[in-house]
Amino acid sequence: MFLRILCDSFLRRRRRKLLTVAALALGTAVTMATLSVALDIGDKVARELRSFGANILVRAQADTLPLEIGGVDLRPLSEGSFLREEDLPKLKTIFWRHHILAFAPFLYQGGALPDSEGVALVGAWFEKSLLIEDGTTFVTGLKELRAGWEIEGAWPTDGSEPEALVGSVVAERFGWRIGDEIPVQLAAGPPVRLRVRGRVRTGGDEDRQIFVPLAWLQQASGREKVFRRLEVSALVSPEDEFARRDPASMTPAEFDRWYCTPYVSSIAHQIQEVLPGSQAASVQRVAQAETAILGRVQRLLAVVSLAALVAAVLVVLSTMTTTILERRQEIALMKSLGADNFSLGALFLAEAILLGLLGGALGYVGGLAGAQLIARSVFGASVASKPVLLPLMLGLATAAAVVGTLLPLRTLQQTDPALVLREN
Amino acid sequence: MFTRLLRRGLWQRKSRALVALSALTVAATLTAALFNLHLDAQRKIRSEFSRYGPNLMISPRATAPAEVQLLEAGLAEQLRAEFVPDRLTALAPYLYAVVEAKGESVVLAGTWLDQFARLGGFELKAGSPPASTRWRAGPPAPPLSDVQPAPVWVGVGVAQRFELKPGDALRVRYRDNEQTFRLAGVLATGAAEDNQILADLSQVQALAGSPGKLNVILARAAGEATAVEKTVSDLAARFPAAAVNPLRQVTEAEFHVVQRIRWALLGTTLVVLVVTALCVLSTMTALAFERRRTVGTLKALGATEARLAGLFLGEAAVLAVVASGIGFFAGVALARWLGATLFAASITMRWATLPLVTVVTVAVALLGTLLPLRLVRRTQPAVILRGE
Repeated sequence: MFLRILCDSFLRRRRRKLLTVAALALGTAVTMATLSVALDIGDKVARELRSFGANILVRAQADTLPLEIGGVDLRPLSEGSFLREEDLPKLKTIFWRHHILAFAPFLYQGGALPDSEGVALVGAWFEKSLLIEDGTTFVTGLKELRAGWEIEGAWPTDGSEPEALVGSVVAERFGWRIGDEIPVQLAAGPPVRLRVRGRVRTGGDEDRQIFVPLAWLQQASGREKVFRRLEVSALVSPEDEFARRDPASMTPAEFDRWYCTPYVSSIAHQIQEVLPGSQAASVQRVAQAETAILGRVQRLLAVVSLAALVAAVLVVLSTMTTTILERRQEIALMKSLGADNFSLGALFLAEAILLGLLGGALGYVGGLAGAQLIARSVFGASVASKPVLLPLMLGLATAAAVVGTLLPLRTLQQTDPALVLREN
Repeated sequence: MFTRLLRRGLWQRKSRALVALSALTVAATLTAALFNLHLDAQRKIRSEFSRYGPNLMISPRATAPAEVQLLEAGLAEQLRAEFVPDRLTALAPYLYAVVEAKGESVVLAGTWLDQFARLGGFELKAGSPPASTRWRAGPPAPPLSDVQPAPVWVGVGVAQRFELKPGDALRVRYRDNEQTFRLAGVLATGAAEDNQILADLSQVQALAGSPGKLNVILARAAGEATAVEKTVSDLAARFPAAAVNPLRQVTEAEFHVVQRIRWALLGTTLVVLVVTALCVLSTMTALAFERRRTVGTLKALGATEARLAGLFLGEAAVLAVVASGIGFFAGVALARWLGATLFAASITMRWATLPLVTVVTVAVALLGTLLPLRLVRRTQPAVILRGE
């Protein structure tokens, strides 16, 4: 009997039920879309912030003090210790390897320009293809590390050819154009000629430097396979109190938790583990700013998704209420035929749950599609589907449907059926 | 007559009207909260970008040969007098010298320590934070001699290598000049400063024998991308002897992030509004449906379509105005609470958003009423009044 009434209710009032399901699906879809986008935008903003450049700096341990002015190490190549280039592919084998977005090694050599002015030659990777242990290749270098750079011309190739990317200030002073051959006297080595492949303007110190392929600079200065400094750009989670603690003072369990969270400090620690003789430090300025900005953005988005959630629940509630109020004749009839409050409640509850599940499932699919649409048009990227949200959405839709049904039902159950029936 | 119909229409269906009213109030509250929060939260997020430190660099024009490529320190003084703190929130001039300490070469950087502290981006490992250079001005002024050495701060790299702790004396030599400093603190930045000694600008100028000279000035310009550009062009026009450049990496990333957040907020506000419009739609449809008889009677008595439409739209508008009034204050309260708990920001109440909220709410209510109006138009008085 119960099942028959339930089935009939769905079959006979198909249009009405369709409308209710549509409302439920819509509410769920809206919440779903907003939540997906909100959950994802934090990640997107984090990636955007990576364009500020490296957040981990690696130098050789047990070194003489680097003489860094204007982003360049001025020590002559005969001084201090170096790190080995062949160890670098190991960076993509650490626990948080997928969070390592880009890195590039640097080697510095002083040089003299035609007017005998000193200039810094910076040897680096531009777009180097690395073979990782697991057989995959990883392409990285300045092009990824300095994603914000605008280049006129082309990036030099990572071979041993004497090619150069020149800073705009030096280029302007000597009137160098792309394709020119420029004479440079190395501080320790022979005079060389570099072919200008491109120019860069950053507004910073780089405008006065000349970038050359690392392999070429290593050969030219007799420092094969080594580099001075490594810059790493890693996707990290905002630092909290726990992240700032000294790992040495942690219990094994705490250490595991720290190690398995992508804090900038734990990633730096893991880099140190794979690069022998290295010392990795997080760039405070970048870490502090990122933590603050990401924290605020995430909180703002939480508020915003909550607003969407409230609005969605509201629309479901009002639709359900309307539907029940419209059916008061039917309820009155059932009551006058002897249905007790319990069986009435059970009937409508079952209906609400069915509707909620149906609407929730539809809304999940629709919301996912909507989120993709928003992400594509606003962010130019797709959002990952989060299966975690499916039970959440089903639960939400069902709960809203149940509450929206039971609240008005209670009022109706208290009214005298005779009064309602006479209304007609 | 119109107002009486309106009043009675709303009064007789109190519960219905209340549902519509609460839906609209929630819409107005959310809109008001988002509008109010929006502006302050964005400003707050933008202010966090100042943690990235300098966003513009002032360096000597590159036409001269290397030896004279120094800025006049007077430039920094002028800049400070004219542009700080309105246009530039912080401004740190730098003079570098490679000095010898404990038999090793190390970079000594001279700057205005109070401004260095303002630019931030360091963690204090030991000692006291870099303090104002005006320590000399405060009474009693300590004499600049080896008896009362001037304070310096060192990076963690230097502290480790030389095994220094706050209070230690540090003797440095530049060519023939020697000077003893007192270590005031140890800083970690993760950048070049980790391996530098940081001292007051005038000390380094005296030691290096280049009084009144600078290598570079780093500054933080206030405001968003356009304001920074304006400051850059103003500075360039005011000081033609220097090259003023925005650090693009900083300004552009900031622009992108703020833009994304703006879109996300705008999008969600829109979604909330659409959803509420639907809510109003369903309530108004039910209202219209329930009042078929009234509509039929009015039609039979000669009410025109326009008149009836006006009645329903008027009802919706009245509800919307009431809702926006309640919602505005509730929204401001909500925004304040959220601002205080989540952003540690005081949200100022913006009266300017009240008309905005009202217009939006009324628009939502009217839009939600348009569909039910079709129902009203299709109502046949004869059919309804016959009781079917």
